[in-house]
Amino acid sequence: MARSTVDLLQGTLDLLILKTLSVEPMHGWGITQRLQSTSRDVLQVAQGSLYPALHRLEARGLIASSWAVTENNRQAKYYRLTAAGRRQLDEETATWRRYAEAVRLVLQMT
Amino acid sequence: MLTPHAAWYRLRALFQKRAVTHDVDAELAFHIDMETERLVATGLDRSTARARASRQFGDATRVREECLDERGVRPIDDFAQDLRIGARMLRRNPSVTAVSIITLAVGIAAATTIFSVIDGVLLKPLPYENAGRLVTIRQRAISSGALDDAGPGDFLDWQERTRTLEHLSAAVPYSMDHRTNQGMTSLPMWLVSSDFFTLVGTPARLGRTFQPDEFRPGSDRVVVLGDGVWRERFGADSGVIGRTVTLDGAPFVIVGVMPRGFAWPPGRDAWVPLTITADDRQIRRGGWWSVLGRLRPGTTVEGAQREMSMIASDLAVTYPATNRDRGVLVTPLEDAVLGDARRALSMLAAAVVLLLIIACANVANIVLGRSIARAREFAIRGALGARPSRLARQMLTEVLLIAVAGTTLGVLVSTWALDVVRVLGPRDIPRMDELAIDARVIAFASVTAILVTIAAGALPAAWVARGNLGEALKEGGRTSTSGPRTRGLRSALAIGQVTLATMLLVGAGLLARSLVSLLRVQRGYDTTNVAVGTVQAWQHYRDPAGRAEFVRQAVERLRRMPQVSAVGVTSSLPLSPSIGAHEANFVLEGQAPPADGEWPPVHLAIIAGDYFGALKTPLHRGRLFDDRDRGNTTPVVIVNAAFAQRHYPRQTPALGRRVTVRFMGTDVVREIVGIVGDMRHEGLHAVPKPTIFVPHAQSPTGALNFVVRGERDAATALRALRAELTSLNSAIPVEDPTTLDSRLDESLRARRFHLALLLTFSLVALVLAAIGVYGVVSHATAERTHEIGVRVALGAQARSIVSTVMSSGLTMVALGVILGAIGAAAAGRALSGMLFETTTHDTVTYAAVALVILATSVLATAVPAMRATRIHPTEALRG
Repeated sequence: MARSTVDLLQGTLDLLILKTLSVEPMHGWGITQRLQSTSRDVLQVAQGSLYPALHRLEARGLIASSWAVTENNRQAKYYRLTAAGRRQLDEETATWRRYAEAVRLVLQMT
Repeated sequence: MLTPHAAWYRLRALFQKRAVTHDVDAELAFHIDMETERLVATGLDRSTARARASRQFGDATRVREECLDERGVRPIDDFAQDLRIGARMLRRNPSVTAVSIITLAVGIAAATTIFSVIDGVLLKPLPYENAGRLVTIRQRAISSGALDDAGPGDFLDWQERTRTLEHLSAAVPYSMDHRTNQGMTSLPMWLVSSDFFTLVGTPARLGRTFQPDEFRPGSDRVVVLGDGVWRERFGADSGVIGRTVTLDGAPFVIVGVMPRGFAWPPGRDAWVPLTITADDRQIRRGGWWSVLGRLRPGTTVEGAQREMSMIASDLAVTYPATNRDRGVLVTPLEDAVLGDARRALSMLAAAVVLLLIIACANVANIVLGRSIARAREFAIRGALGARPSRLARQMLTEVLLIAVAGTTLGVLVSTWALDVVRVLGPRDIPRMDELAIDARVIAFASVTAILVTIAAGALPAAWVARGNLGEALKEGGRTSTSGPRTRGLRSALAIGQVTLATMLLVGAGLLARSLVSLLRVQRGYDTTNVAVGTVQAWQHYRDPAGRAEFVRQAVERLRRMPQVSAVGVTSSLPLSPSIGAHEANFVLEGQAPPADGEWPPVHLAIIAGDYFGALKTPLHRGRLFDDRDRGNTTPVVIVNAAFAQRHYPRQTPALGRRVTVRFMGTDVVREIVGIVGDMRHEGLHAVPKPTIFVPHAQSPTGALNFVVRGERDAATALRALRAELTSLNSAIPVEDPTTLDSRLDESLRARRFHLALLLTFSLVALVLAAIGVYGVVSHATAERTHEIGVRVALGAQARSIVSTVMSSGLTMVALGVILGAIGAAAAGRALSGMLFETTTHDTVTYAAVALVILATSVLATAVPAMRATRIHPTEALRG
């Protein structure tokens, strides 16, 4: 692979999952694909670590799941954002923006 | 924080573990499949693609475990493991397990049985609509506080004036002669006023209750039957509605049958409309109308009491002659029905709680003992990384297993125990026949099991969690020692058990002493070989002379029977429900007659034949009634010793003095001709009241109790009584034929029942406490095997070994007995109302209890002591 990849920062996986699901309901494999493609393959999610995170978010009521049929006519477990999840996403996005901005400002120091 | 959503999510994992696991597996498999497909699409062959997909995924097993953890499946697995280990440990020590389970089963059986009695009797609402708002209204003498039912005049005035009570109703006890195929019997019933069934609100089970027009004079005669009468006399025939029965010679149409359990007022099982006439309003003396009402919405018992008291004082102004001394008492129906039963059941509930605590202490002690023996096991598990909380949970799980098994067994035992209670239980505990193990009782038992688990498991669990287990590994000996702290803990548990057992035994002892005193008390009559039966002669002999003649003939016929040694008749028989008026008023000769409402009351019995001979009541002075005392001769009276002592203290004998007796509205001046011994009329516990006796010939009442003393036994006397009365007048039924002995038994039934229960509880408690003491002593002895071995090797005598072992145990017991005695003295008040001529500090009882416990404890400690003497020095030292 030509491009270098970055491991996910601690705690950002939840945020990324919420953001991805805010577009449309998706199954787990779909989420990994979407994350990789939208980050232009920079972000590498250890595929396995996605699932405990999904179950944790569901336990917290931020996402909900149901089994449905894919385009290829297979049974897959789809996750979607709940109202609580959407609020959480907004909060965490704002926090992340402030954080990233702060880090950028510090790094610009001359 | 556990949100409701998260709680539900976890809960689902608890109950649908398999489904949750499957869900996770399917989801992960789908991911691998999709990734494989994607890689195949990029040109890889299928097997390479699958291998790479798996690699990219990472450690699938761990991911799966983590997912399941997030879903909350893990604690269930742990619990299952605890259960498996626990069950294995319990199986490995079958005798210890059995003792624990049986201990708990006994405690729970006692608790469940008493709870179902309390639940059935006290906690469940009475089966009437708005039972909580029903009240009874009785009249109360302002001067003496004596309670009595109301009379028609007062009832009608109350009904008209009250604004706080609605549907005020009266029920009047009555008996009608019921002609059946087998002959005449009597049907005890309530005549009820028009609002009665509206008030209680219970619909008929078959047919209907009364309609308003059926209360008008001259309307069709109708009757509603109770469940008991319907079963006994009508064979539970549902076609009975509309049929006609002959009561007092007149046809009555059966319009309804009430459901099982409906018995208000208690004791009579048929209802007939009470027709109130204008004449009734004039009857202002009190006495026999039970009045029931319902609080209007928004009013309280106190409010109703205030209003009724005001109405009573208004009536006292309007009718000074009769109502001057008359107040009113409003009582919630539940209090009126339950009465003394509440106190007795509270006492039993307290006893059962003590018993349960003792049982818990036993289980705690046993489990603690086991866990000390298993210290090595716990130490190793701890060393291998088990957290202390996990080990504590293990202990709790084991106790839970014991508790569940014990509870199951206990509930089974209590279904059987309830049958016994139902048969032996006192009749004055209402609704006894409705008892059953139902969902509420099961719920109670389950909650108890959980509490027991916590109570009995907390100590062992805390001990294990404290985690000073490392020492167990270091010691490495064959027997692990427990250290002074746990030894102290176990001793404390045993002492506590002895303390509580002492309290229970003292309680049982006091009740037993009371019963013995009661049986020994001077009764004033002899119940053996005496048959009794009641006759209501009013309907059959409407004129007084006819009644007098009937009684004279009946007594004459019975007296001639060879199997009968004495015959008497009375309107008021000891140990029996009253069947007619028995309250009179009197003024002594020479006293200024008091105002009308203030004549002192006296108990009055109208007697005939050789009444005192039949009861073997002694004549102290003067003479008995005889043929000289007729309707047209000098009015005479016999008084009892209590009357003579109270009213003629310095002028004995009272013979020849005169009293004016006011009875049933007429005043008669009577001469005292005899003084007889006192009788304990209302029961052996009741102090004899001043009583006067009037000859039947001079006051021919229709309410008659025949008293027949048999030559050999009561049964033949009873047969003679029925045969002779039937041959004299076959239309007259003999009500409640029985023996006076069984009336006596009936009057003692409640006391015997309470004693039997408390005695059972305290003996079980004694055994449990003995087991506890035995456990502690034998464990302590086992720990000292080494020391004892050394002492034996150094030449110690068996006797000194025995005394060392036993004295430590007996010291514990002595301490427990002392604490228990103090506790019993403090708690004794709970029994005070149930004792007879026995104080709560009765020394004999306390001494006897101490002796019993010490004797039992000597046995319990002797076994380990004897075992200690057989310790072989070489064996003990080699270990």
